[in-house]
Amino acid sequence: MAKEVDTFIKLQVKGGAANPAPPIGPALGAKGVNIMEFCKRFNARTEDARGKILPVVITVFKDKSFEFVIKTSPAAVQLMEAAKLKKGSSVPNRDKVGSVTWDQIRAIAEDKMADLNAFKVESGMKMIAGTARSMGLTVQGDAPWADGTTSDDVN
Amino acid sequence: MNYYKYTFAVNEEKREILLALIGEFAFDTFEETTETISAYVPEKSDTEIDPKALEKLKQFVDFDYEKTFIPYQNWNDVWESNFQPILVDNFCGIRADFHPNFDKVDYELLINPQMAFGTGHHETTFMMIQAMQPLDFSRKKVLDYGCGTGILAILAGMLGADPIDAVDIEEPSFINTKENALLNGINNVHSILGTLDNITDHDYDIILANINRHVILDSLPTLYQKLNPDGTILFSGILETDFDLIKKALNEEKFILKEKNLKGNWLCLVVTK
Repeated sequence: MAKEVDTFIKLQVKGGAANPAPPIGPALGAKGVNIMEFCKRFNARTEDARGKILPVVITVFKDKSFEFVIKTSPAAVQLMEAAKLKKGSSVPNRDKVGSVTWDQIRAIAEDKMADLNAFKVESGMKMIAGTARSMGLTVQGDAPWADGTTSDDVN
Repeated sequence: MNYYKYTFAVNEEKREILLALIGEFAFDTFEETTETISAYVPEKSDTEIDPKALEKLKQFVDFDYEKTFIPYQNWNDVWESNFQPILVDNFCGIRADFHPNFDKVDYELLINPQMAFGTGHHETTFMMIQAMQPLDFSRKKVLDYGCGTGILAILAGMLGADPIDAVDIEEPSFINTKENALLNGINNVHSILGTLDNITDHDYDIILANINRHVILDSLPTLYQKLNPDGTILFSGILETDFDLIKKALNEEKFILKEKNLKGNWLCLVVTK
């Protein structure tokens, strides 16, 4: 028989950085879950994404056991990661404008298609490019479609 | 550990962008509500958060924020106050002081965890205890690296090890190890707050390292130096999927992998020089 769900807890935690502290501590602790075990499991599972913001949905069951699912990072977070990769720096200089490539935009759009409410990858790419510009990132090169449009509101 | 909570009031449409931007700061965890993002940072890392740098983000996103202090408290208290005792084969039983004695067990440990890891419930601790059973600890010099509750150091003490150093980077673990050693009448566990850099001693006969992949990989050269030529290291805190990576790193450091144990999707490795 399936276990009875008590609650769902949604947080965004940096890879490898779960601590028995707020907000994880109070959210899980109040339910009688062993926070230390969650932190051990989460940190081990996210070793390859250390420091990257990861959405996590924790299902707490009535018997105080838990499961968790790690979702893909928000598009804006992925853009920031992409800009860092390009600069080869772990800490981008916020005084300078970073940049991303259209290939990176495409990869993020493909990853987030389900969330973007877009039917075509190109539409998704335009949305992601718009997000990039909103956060001070430039998109390098010409858009990889015929008319070269880079308008943010094309869907 | 004390924390600071920064609560950012931000338009829903811009929330994701603000999350990405503040993600570059020293915050470790974030929580979204319908109108805010709360970002949490340990007190010791708060000095890395420059208010002027935060203000600069307003060129991209309009927001306000306020900062509140969250004092340390034992958030794990509910679980710790009613966890079930656990038996590792009939070799070692672990219980809190509010549980009755085990009927038949070789070694009985009293562990009252206080925001520290290690009660035997987790696969990694369970396998570490199993891997300790065949080892000769009598008069052996032991290092427990990432000691948590001190459970492995205390068991080593019961098995005759002496001296025993137990180190952990977390203050609750440093304190809890002392408390639990006292509770079990083991008086030769030297609890140390810090990292491997704080361990000046060498020539350990047995090193117990139930930590995580990242720390283990970074520590391998130092651990090799600190281990006696005929010594043994027990590693855990590693997922099965990380085995190839760990095995390669062990080979590069000239360690010899003697045994690989698996419980759930967690590994415990027995390693010598």
